[in-house]
Amino acid sequence: MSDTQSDSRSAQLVLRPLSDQMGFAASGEIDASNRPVLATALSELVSGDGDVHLDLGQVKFVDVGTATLLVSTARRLTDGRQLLLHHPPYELSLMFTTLWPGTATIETDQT
Amino acid sequence: MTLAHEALLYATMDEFLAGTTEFVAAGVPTLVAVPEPRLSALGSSPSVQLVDMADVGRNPARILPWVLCAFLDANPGPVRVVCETIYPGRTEAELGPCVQHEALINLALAERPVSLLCPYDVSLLTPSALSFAERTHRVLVSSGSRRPSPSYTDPAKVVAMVNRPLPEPARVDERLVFDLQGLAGVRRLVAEHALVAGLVPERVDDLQLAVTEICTNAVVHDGDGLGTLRLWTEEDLVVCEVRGAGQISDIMAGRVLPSPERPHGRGLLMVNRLCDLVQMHTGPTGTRTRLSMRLSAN
Repeated sequence: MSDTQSDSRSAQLVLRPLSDQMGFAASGEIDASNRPVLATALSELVSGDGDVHLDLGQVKFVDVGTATLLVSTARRLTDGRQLLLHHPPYELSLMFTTLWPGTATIETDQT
Repeated sequence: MTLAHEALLYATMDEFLAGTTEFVAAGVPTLVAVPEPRLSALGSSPSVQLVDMADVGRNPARILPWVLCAFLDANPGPVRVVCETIYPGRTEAELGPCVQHEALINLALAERPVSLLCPYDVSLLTPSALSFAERTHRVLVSSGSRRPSPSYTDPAKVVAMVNRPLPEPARVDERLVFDLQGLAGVRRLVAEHALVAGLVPERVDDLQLAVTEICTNAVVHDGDGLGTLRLWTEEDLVVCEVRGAGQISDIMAGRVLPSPERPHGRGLLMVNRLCDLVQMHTGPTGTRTRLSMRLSAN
């Protein structure tokens, strides 16, 4: 049996502003250790104008808390504004359809 | 109409068919969740949906939210369900979670218009398994007659009875003490271990998500912010065990979908959906959660 100490390599998350839309391209892993970073970034976008875009094509992991954050973010958008997710990981789509059935608050696409 | 939850005690295939055929022929939407060969023995009809309990219910904690509630939500109005959760062939490790599931049905579905008939094979199941059938069902049916169960027990008490320390494994391959910042390290270790054991990559992803959910609960809720992960394999299983300082007080955790606006209560639901077995022992000194994936399952 190997006995390992707590891993110092915590989840890395990078958010890069999109050039042509209001939002970010995210890369890395999103879990409870770094979710507040995403929450803060999304809050700033919610307080602005227009739709909010999040490209998740380079995200390798999301947990249920991340899905919850995205659902609550979408609910905070009013006046027809939407949260649009691009290239969501398979697990995230699965969480939306199973854990929030029948509540289409988030638009996802593969482009 | 509210919940009816009855046990059908049968000893032969003929007795099984005699006890279930009329029940499923009522014309109302009916779900039959039993293992083979009994699944094929029951003829299908337009109002009856047949699923293999050995597949959809191999994790007993999955049955309530993802089989029963899913069927009830899709079929508003009175429905019937034949649900053979405790069948010959269940392992000792599965029995506790099965009993817990049977008890929680009485709370989760108390106000739902569902009539549940749970077959128990009295010729092959252990006396212990059969005694719990009497504790978790208000009515026992055998040889065409119905009688009240003499030992029906409050569901919370039944859950407490099967909240037992988990047996120590013969061998542990990896042990990791982690904190919130170490969740990524947890995932890497789980993936390495599961891939070496032979778990298919898609299910390795599922296991990483499930373990992350349990580990997150272990370090964010209570205690010193540290959890312990142990990994091993036994026979057909990859096993991940997480220990945290907190005690789980909500016996319905992970069994019922919360309303859409509620921000919490979905992590364990996802774990129950993804894993092949979820065992838990919780108490004042902490909670130990054991997640298993079958190498032979899809």
